[in-house]
Amino acid sequence: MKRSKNAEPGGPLGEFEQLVLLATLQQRDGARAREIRARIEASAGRSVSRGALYATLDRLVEKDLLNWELEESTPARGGLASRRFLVTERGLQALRRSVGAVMTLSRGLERLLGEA
Amino acid sequence: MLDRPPRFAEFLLRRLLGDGISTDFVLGDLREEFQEQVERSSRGRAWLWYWGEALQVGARMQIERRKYRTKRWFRNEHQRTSIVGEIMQIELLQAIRFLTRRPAFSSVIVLTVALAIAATTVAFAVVDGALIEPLPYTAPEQLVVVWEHNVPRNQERNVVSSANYLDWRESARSFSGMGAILHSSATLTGQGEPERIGTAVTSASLLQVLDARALIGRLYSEPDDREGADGVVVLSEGFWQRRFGADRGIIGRSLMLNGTPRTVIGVLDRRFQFKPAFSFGGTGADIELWVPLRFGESARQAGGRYLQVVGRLRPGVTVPQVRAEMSALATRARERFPVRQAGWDVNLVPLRDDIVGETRTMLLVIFGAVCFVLLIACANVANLLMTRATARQTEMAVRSALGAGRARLMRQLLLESVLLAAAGGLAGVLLARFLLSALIASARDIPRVDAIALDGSVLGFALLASLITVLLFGLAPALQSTSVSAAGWLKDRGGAGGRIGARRLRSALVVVQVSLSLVLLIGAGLLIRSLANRIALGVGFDPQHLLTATVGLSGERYQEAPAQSLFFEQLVDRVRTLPGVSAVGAITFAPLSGTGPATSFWALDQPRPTEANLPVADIRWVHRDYFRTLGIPVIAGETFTVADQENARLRVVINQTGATLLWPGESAVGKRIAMPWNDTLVAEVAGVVSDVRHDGPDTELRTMLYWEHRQLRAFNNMTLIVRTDGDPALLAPSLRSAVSQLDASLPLYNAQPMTQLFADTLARARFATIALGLFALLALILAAIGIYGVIAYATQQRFREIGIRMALGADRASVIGLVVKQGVALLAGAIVLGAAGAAGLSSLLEGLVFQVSTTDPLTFVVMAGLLGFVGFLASWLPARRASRIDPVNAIRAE
Repeated sequence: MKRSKNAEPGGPLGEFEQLVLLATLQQRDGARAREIRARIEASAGRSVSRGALYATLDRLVEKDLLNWELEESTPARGGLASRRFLVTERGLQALRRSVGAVMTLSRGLERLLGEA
Repeated sequence: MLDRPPRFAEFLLRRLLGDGISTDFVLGDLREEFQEQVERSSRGRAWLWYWGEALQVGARMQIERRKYRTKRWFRNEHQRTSIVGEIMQIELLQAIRFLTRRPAFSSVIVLTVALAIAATTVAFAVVDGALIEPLPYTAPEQLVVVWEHNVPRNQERNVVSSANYLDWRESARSFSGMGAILHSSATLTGQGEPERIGTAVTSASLLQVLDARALIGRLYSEPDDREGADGVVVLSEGFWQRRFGADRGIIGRSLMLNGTPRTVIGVLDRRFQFKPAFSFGGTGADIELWVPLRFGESARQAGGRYLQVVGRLRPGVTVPQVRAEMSALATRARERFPVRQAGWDVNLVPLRDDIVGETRTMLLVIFGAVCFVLLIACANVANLLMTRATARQTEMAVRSALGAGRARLMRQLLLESVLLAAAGGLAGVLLARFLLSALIASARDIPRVDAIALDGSVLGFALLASLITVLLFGLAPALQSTSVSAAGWLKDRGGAGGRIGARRLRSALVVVQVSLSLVLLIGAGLLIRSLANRIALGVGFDPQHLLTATVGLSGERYQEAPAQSLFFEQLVDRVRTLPGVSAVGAITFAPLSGTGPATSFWALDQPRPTEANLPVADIRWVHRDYFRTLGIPVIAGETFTVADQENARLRVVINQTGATLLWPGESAVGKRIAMPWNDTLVAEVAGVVSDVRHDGPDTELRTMLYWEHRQLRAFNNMTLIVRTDGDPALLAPSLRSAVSQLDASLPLYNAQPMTQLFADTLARARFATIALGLFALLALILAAIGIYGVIAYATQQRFREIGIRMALGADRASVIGLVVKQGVALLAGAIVLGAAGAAGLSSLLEGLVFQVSTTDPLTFVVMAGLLGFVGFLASWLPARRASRIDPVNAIRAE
């Protein structure tokens, strides 16, 4: 139920969507799906199913929060194209809003929440 | 070289995601990671990984997309009609996700179902091809094979004399047509290497009765059958392609067959197939040449029986009607020819029964065994799903509390079962395809093997079997786990071990499983003992280090009997000098290679019996070294010597069965016998040799008379039997050159080691034994898993109780006893049931067992013991685990 509300264009970001956008931003020249997955798994310490990731990436593109550009194929891909995701201006705004809200709400709770 | 991911998985994923650029990206990413998986682990593991990921990604993305669409639908309120479909699809995808998330659980079930479906499908394909599919002739139900029936000898399928065939053809009103065939072989010369070719000599009417069609040219017709007509020959399509490269110009050309020119008039369509039950001197290969059968005037009087007769009943004529008519004709023949026809009746067998014959029992037994395996597998899967369902009661209770109706929950669970059965069924059919081609390549002894295929009816059967499987294994768990209400589940939770009804059902399933597998084990045990008995009995000589190869004489040179004898004498002398040869003999109609001639005879020192009661003997013509080469012991007197020449006094060698039958308690040596072979031949018994089982261990022993080939000659071919020091198969080329040095126009054929012939005679028995043995093993494994599952689960439910018992002082042995007792109780019940079932069904094996009773107590006890032992192990493992639990933890766990 929760996620479907977040999926509405312009609505607040879901937690996973937030993680995906942040992980994409970490890679300066845009990130490939597997790099995004690896980064989330490493920093959030949870496993990410490929299906969920691809579905979220598609949704974020549809909501115009992510954009992508084509990359050249490698032999290992057997001629199938690759893409690199970039966060759009709208994506950045949405991220600012939701991260901002989190930061505002966590103010004063540093001791309770710790360094994480 | 880069590895490619499983194509079918890629195809499925593409179907799930739809064609689009983002699909390409996903597939590309997965390919890239697949390569890394291959490098990191193995190809097989990477393969499994890919399948898991593909299904998971596909299902997940579908669910997400559909949820999104459904949500939009609620917002936009259009396309209302498709919502039910959408929800069903979401449920389907959720089920896929549920199953791919639990790969071990799912793959065990899919594998079990796949094995069972594959086995059942293969068995059905064989049964369908042999017993159900119509024969490839027009109105095949009208076709019957007409045999002569020798009543005193109880020989129901005896070949027919030309006189009787001609009489039936003219007098029997019930038939619209009748034809005769003799399966033999002929030597083809003048076309490169001489070759011996399987040949059918048939009446033109046989081709009409069986609806044979010419591919090119024409088939022979009645005028070609007449004596004095030009020699013609029809080629099989295979032979035409093999020898003449499918040259259409072959029509009108002449072939030298047995030294006589014959004009090729046509090529027979490949779709026409007919293989007579008996062959006299055939090559063991298919029939490749068809020539007309011609009768001289003497044929109406001749008593020699060598023809196989097929008739087509007139429409509307029933088998009882035609039986009555034929039996009247047989009576008339007995009255007209009291000598020749005494003791002979007529026997009609529908063509299919004649082709399938004794294999019917074997096929049905194997099919029944396979169905048992399917049932056992279903019980196993049902048990697994019920365990799973118990574990999912929390989920079901919560969903039910949230408002999901029972129908909805059941639909979900059944959907999972359907998916498992579909995956298992699909894998099973693929496996069946593989198994079937292996089977067809190896099982030469299955009738109508060419009709066996994975066709529509077989696939339909596989589908039906899969559906039944779902109903059997899916319904009980679905009913069980959805019958619980949220409140009921909470109440139950504190209980000691699942609900009693479910537990009983699972125990009952295991009892059924175990008893079914005992039935199979006992069946397999009986067949194994039978095969062992056959091998132990042997054929009367040691088949090791013996090579057999046949030479057929043809052409002007060998018209006279002395020329034939001379040739074989010279050939044996020549072969004896070949390096590696330690002994050589020769015989017409070698042991283990098919039917041979037989005749009636009588002992001259006894009153001559009436015609109907004359004893019958198989007859063979041998080179005098035959007995020594095969190592057949001489029991009394001597075998032939060089002195037994053409003009010497006639002597025969008789086998032990014959000697005991005719002269019980007396010596047969020196006694005289008479044989109405053309003229009455009188010969003195030179010696008695021990019995040889000419058709394999199953042969019923009959009298055998051996003649020295120089004294009596009736067939122009002989089979060389060569004893070698090393591998007999290696000797064939030098044997061949020995023949061509004597006469380059003569082919050597059927060169094979005697061990091969021996193995061939056991092929059917071995096939049944291996098939039933494998199914019984599979059943045993499945049953063991079943017992283990039930006991392990029940034990787990009782951990707390066991903990308390141990805390109160119970030692490990008593805990093991407590758990094993449950298993033993199940086993005991199942063994009693299984043994009763096996005793009830054992009569089905009547035609397959050999020298062992179908209720053989030893087999019953051993197999019950084996099952008991395996079952005990299966319940001991969880017992041992239970005895090692820490009482404190076990009590606290609840």
